[in-house]
Amino acid sequence: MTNHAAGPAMTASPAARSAPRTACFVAAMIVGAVVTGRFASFTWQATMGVSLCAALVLAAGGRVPGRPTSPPPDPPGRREALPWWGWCGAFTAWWGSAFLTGSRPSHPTLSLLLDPVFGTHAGKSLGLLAWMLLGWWLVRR
Amino acid sequence: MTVTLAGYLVLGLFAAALALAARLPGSRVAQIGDCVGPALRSRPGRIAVLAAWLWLGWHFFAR
Repeated sequence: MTNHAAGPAMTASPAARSAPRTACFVAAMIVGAVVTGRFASFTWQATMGVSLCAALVLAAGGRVPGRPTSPPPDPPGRREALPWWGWCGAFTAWWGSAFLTGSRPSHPTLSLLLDPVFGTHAGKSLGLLAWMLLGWWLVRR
Repeated sequence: MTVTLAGYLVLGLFAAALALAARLPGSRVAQIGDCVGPALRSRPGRIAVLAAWLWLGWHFFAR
């Protein structure tokens, strides 16, 4: 027997019901990124802003509906994961070589390379947003 | 600096190629999420991965 008294909220799919909360969370992340992106590095405002952005992602990110509820897939075998471990090793070696040799102008670290990008409000805000999205992706797993 | 940039560009392109290859049917390359997932399912692994994420944020945006 069908319950005809059930309203739209009861019949909406979980994804549709979670959409407003997800939109609010994404909007909060955008606001956090834009506001924090205005602060210069090495200031208490920047530290506070980044801390609040991290707290937002860690506290709310995992609670935003849409979190996968299906059982986790089997971990990949070593052979399947090997290309990614190889990539991590290559990245670490490339970054580490610049770090250990003192980040020379001829071989700077990634931080030094990205300084001009994150030195602008737009670049820093977009970087912060990407970082928060990465965090959201992590806490939802 | 050009060589350094080229190195990061190659690494980025390689990562993109791996991500695309992982999505092909019958691929022998794991998806990046499947590699990170097992680490996130244990408490120490989750703390380590999220600590690395926090460090990234502080290093690039607050330092």
